[in-house]
Amino acid sequence: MSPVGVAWNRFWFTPVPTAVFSRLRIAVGFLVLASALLLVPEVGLFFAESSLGSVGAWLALAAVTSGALALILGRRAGLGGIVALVGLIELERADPLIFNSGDRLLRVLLVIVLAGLGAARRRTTMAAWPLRLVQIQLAIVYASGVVYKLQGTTWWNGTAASYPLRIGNMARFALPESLVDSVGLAQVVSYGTLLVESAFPVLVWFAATRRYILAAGIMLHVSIDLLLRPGLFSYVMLAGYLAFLPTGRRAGPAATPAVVTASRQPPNEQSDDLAELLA
Amino acid sequence: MASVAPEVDAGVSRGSTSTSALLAAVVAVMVVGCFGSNPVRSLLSGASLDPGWDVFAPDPMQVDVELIATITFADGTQARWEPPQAAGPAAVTTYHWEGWERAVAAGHRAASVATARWLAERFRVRGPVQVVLTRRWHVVLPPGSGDRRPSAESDFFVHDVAGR
Repeated sequence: MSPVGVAWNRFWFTPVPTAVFSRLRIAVGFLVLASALLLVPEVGLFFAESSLGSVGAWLALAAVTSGALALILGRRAGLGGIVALVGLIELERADPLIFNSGDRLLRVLLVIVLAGLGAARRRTTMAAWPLRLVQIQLAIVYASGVVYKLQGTTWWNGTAASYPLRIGNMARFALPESLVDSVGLAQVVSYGTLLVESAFPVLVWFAATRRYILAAGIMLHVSIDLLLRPGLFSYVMLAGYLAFLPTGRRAGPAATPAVVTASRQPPNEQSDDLAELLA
Repeated sequence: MASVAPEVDAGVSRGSTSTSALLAAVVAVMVVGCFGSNPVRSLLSGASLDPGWDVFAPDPMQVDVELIATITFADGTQARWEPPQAAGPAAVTTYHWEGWERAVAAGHRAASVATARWLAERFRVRGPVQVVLTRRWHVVLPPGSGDRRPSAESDFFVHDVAGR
């Protein structure tokens, strides 16, 4: 097989512990459950005049809730996931006004989890591709976010971050005017956001830098969630980070040469460092 | 690392050609779908999987819009209502209101009707006769300007409960 083929197979099909995928499934299940429960108080308003109507919305919420529980428990997770996805899609179609990018990303992650369930069935290890898809999806979210942001003016002059903090229904707290009106602080936050979002899609693929960029990403999302009202967005992004957590990598530089190491280690301890994959 | 020996290959599962092709296609769709408007994005949007990740982009919103409702009762008294905004850790419980409030305040007809009817029902025991929806907004100026524009206010929707 050609080196490219070997790298391709390593990237997508290296066995990883199914437990890694399971924690992603459970996290997505909890978020799907949360997204359903958060709609309960206002079904009578948000859906009464929609194509679904209140009764249809309640049925969809019941479907989403039961599907989420199946995902969390791992019992009939495939069927449950499909039911939950259909329910979420119906709710979004009935009233797209109330959903944001976090809800959209949650549906995408749910689709990936559903696709990966087959690979994870009754095995202790599974091919890495469902986790890889989540990783790539997050990298795309950040990369495309930067591309879109650079088309505006406020991200270039560094004032962008101050606006959401001064909009009533976006800010979680009314911060002191001296903070939100500070150009210097706005620039630190705006450029810092751009830095993390542009670095993530690159640095996350290398073992030496992964933990640092993941830590920076976690700080970014925790900050967003503490200061703004992004709904489930930060939680969904952080759930996606589960796909990057260690799967039992091999030892560091002191390890024995690759050939010997690989032949002695269980398959789930293959490297997930892009530099090594492409070597 | 001089060479990748067969032993290393042996430790890595190989995917089928069809699975590999499918994965390559999925990644291509993910990438192509998230930039600009194209058929791939339209397809994904149709499936409620819109891959546009333009959060706060190209520029964040720079207008602060609020929705206010005034409910008039049969005895002539009035009640004022604003969309709920849970504070602190509970903020996530009311995030759906953000998009709804913005849409209603922007004049979204169906959402305005739904809101007015919902309010009339909510205050039913007090005998509501009219619900008026008002938008209040101000432009958010760049930081450092030291200026805050006064808010403008206008009624944009009137719902006569008796005429329901």
